[in-house]
Amino acid sequence: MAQYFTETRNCELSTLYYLETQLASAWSGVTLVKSFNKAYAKDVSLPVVAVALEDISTERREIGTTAINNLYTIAIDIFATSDGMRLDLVDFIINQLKDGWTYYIYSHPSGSNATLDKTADGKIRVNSFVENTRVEISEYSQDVKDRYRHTIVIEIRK
Amino acid sequence: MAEFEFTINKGKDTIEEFIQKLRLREDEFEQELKIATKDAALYMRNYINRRKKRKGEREQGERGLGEALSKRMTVERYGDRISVGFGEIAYLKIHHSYWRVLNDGGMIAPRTMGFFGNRQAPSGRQRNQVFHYNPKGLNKDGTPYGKGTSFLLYPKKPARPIRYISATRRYLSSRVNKLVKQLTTRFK
Repeated sequence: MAQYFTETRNCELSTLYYLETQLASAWSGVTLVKSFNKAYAKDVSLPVVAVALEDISTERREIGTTAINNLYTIAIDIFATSDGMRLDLVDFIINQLKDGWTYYIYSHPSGSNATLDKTADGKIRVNSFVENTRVEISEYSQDVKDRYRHTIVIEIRK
Repeated sequence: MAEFEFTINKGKDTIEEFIQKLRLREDEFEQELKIATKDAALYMRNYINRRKKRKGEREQGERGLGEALSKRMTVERYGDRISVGFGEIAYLKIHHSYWRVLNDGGMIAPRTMGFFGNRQAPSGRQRNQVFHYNPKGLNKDGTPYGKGTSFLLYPKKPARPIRYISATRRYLSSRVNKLVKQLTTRFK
């Protein structure tokens, strides 16, 4: 029997899949990784975009029911090779996010952990753009990956 | 700097009438906002304390960055705008110079001075530690490691971002939205 993923994991994986596809179609050589630390791996070269689901806020959908609404906070860290590239990547990503993207239900097919199946099931929308700011930590870091950094934080819902 | 938008009930008031009515409630709004900001400061302090890796208390002064930020909050009015701020850059630079790295993460410089909250440095050989701490050496002030107030640290991997600024912004924005709804629904 196939093992289906929860909504939280589906949201994260759907966002990763969407950004990976969009970046691959318009940019060359941009690596997308799933966690912040992986962006610093020696075998990952710039430019890098790191995407991770950071927080979940849960609230009642309406009074009188037990249904809940989840808001997911997604952090997108951009590590560019120049200031111009940083700004271009930010604009590109924001433009891709504004209209929403497909929500997929992911599952492991029976007997296999190596591959993932996915089925489209609605849409993910951006509830709010929380932060869109340059990260300036040159006084602490001399690492080449920290030189042209930018962070976008968004809140999404299914 | 936070900006607040108000919802207008179509067909009920003209924009001028609506603004006029809101003006009468400016002070009430500001008072409520101050309460929300105090709550946000507390939220930020707890958020940092829950997520920081090296828990513990410093023996002197305030207990860490969370307290330093929450004790220095301001709500100021500039004409039609209300500005909300946490922390004071000059104070942070001296006492909590790592505030930016804690928020944004990153691979900090080859060697850096840092604190372990309770002055008990964990072994740098532990796999889960970001820093390697050299037990044979002197601090910047000439005292042996472990005896002074800070340690010379060698980062082994990037520090993960805590993102306490965006978390507090989300919290405050949600409180302000509720507040604006409460104030504007009375005009229906």
